[in-house]
Parts: sequence; C-alpha cells; structure tokens
Amino acid sequence: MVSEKVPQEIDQTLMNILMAPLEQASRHGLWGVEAQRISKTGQWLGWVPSHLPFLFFADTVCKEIANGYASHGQKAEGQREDRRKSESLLHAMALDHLAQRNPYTLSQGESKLIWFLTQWAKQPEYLVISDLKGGLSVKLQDRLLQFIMEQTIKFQLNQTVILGVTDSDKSWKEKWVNQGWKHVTGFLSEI
Amino acid sequence: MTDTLSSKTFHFTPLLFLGLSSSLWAVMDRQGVMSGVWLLILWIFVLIIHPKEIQKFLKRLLHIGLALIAFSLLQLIFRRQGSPVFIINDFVLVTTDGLREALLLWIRFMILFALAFLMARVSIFHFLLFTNKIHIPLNMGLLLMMTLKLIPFIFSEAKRGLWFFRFRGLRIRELSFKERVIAARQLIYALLMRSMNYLSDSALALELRGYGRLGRYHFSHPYSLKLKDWGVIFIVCLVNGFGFWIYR
Repeated sequence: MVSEKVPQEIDQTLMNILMAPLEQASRHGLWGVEAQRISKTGQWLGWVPSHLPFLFFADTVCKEIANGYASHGQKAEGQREDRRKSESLLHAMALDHLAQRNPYTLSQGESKLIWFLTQWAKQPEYLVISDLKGGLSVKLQDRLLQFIMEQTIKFQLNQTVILGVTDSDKSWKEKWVNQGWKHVTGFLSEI
Repeated sequence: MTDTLSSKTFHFTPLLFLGLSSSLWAVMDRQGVMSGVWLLILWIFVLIIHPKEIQKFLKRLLHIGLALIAFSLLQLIFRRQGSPVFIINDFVLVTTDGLREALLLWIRFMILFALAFLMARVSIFHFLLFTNKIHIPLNMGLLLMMTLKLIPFIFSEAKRGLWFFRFRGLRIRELSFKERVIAARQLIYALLMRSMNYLSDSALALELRGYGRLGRYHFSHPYSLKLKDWGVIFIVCLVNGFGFWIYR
C-alpha cells in the first residue's frame, strides 16, 4: 500500500512508461519492437489506471474476464472453462449480478472492479492499482482488499499487489496494515 | 485538432483555395507538371506555417511516402503503353506511360497527405467560426465540426484499443489466423462501443452549444482576411492562371 507523496504519481509514472509509444504517433507504437515490449510487460504486470477510460473487448462481463484467462494460452477469446473460472471470480467478489451485463453500461466503480478482475485473471507477478479510492466507496475498497487477501491465501499466490492511496484516514490504513498489508509513503519509482 | 485560434493563424479561405486548386489539378492533370507544382507549393506552405512541426511532417512523409511508392509502382504492371524504359531478357518491365502513371498516382497521394496534415491542424473553433462567417447555419456548422472531430477520435481509439489488447499479454504475431480474426472482431467491437459513447456525449455537447435553435446566430469574434491571406490567395490564382496558360 503506497501513500503517494504526489497525488496520481503512480498513474503518471506508469502512463509515461507504458503509454509513451502511443504518444509518439509513429508506427512503432502500433507495431514492431515497442509493441512487443507492451505484450511482454502485459504478461507480468497488471494495471488498473485511474485516468484512462477502460476498453472492453467482449459484450458481457463474464466473457471479458474469461478473455483475461485465455491470454495465458495466447488465445484471444476465453473458452467454456475460462468462463467458468470467470464466474467463480465474480462470485468471490460478490459481483455475480454483473456477469451478463455489457461492460460499457457499468458505473465508474463497477468498471474499475471488472477491469481489476480482468487484470487479476492474467495472474501477473505485479498488479498495480493506481488509485484505490477513485470511484470506489469505502465498502467496495474493503471488499477489494478482502478479495485479494482471500484469493492469495486460497491459491497460495506469489503476487505483489501495489495500491496507490491518497488521503486515506489513518485508522483505515492501520486496519489493513494489521491484516498483513505493508504500508509505505513515497514514489513508485523509488519503490 | 486544437481548440485555440491565435493571431498568427491563417484564415480558412486561403486553405480552402489551396485545397480546392491542388485537388482539382491532381484530378485533371495528365502530364504531372501542375500536380508536381502544387505538391511543391503545399510542402512549402506546410514548412512556412508549421515550422515547429517540420520534423514530425518529414517523419510521416518518409513513412507514408515510401509505403505509397510501392503501391504506386503497381501501375507499371497494368500500363504497358509508351516506349520501353527498362528491359530484362526481352521482357519490357517498365514503360514511359507506366512510369508516368505511377509518378502521377504518388503525387496525388502526397497532395492528399499534405492537405490532411494542414487540415488536421485547423482548430475546431476556427472551423466553426469560418462556417458561421460564410453564413452556413449553426446546426450544419456544428454537425460538420463534430464529424471532423470524429476522425482523429476514431484513429486514437483504434491505437488505444490495440495498446490495451497487447497489454493483455497477447503477441499478435504469434496468434493463428482464426485467433487474429477473433482479435479483429474484438477490436472493432470496442471501437464501435467507444464511438457510440463518444457520439452520445457529443449529442449532448451539441445541444448545450445551441444545436437545434431556431434562427441565425452570428459569432461576434472578428474574423477577416489579412494581408498574408490575400497573399496566399493571389499566389493560388497566379499558379492556376499559369497552369491554364501552359495547358491552353
């Protein structure tokens, strides 16, 4: 859990590193070495940005998360087994009611949670949530952290989750630090 | 496109004159002389009015220009008339007519590219002001403005879509043909949904800016032709006159 010295620092740092090829407006951003770098990075890094509108590629939430699972086997679309895993993930997050919804009709907070699940399904080594509080109520923030802890223990995952938090109250941070989260204050680049 | 209008900006009329004249000559000219002259004028114009973007322009020109040379050279296959220029083992590979057609096609593409580069740098407000000053109804002006703005939006969303797709960890080169078709379908779906969201937001924005109001509305912002604008219009007329004179 990172208390950012400068608000949105995590988001800006990752945007500068990862989105740079897009800004260069050259073909290298779309094809070639830079594009391969993005694919490689995407295999070990999951990212929930706060300043980008999420892009979903499937017409239902369930399929969208299943696509995340399918990316392990270099498949563009999730199969039945992936969809089953996706449903259980939604169930674990208590979001079963969203399974058949179109991702583009979700609220900001719901979109963020679904995007998080698509990234979680990739099972990356590092997962960064740029701004935990953005668009999520305290209840949903707690549910998200609870979900991460439960899944990590249940499947004995060796994954580092970095959460960007700004202006959170002290007692809330202490509550989660007591449950095993490590808290640091600083810049992502330093950490 | 940007949302500002500085005092250094050219009036839209000389741009329109340039665009219409160069397009007209690109279509009419069969010899390639006038098309070449117009291409040269457009390049010089780009260099003069966008000196800070020369590097970007040259980079894009190199990429697009080289790709289109290959495409234009396809004309050599279909145009067999004229004198032989290049022969291999008694087989005429290149003829003068084929070469001229290829060159003409390339010049036309380059004129289109230069015009697109110029038009993409016209601010949205500038364009709306121009349509208002030439008494195009506000409804039509706003609609034209939104249509023009949709093109760069679709382009940037397509790029972002591809980026997000790759960030799933997929290596497109390693996907099978079937997977590539699925990937293309997914990308198009995302693009369609984002465009629909954009359009519904735009519809709201249009209404807030007075779309659908009755009667005429005139912007009070001053917008008149300056000396440099008249200069460009004069040069355009002069070159057109020269063109008609040599092809009389």
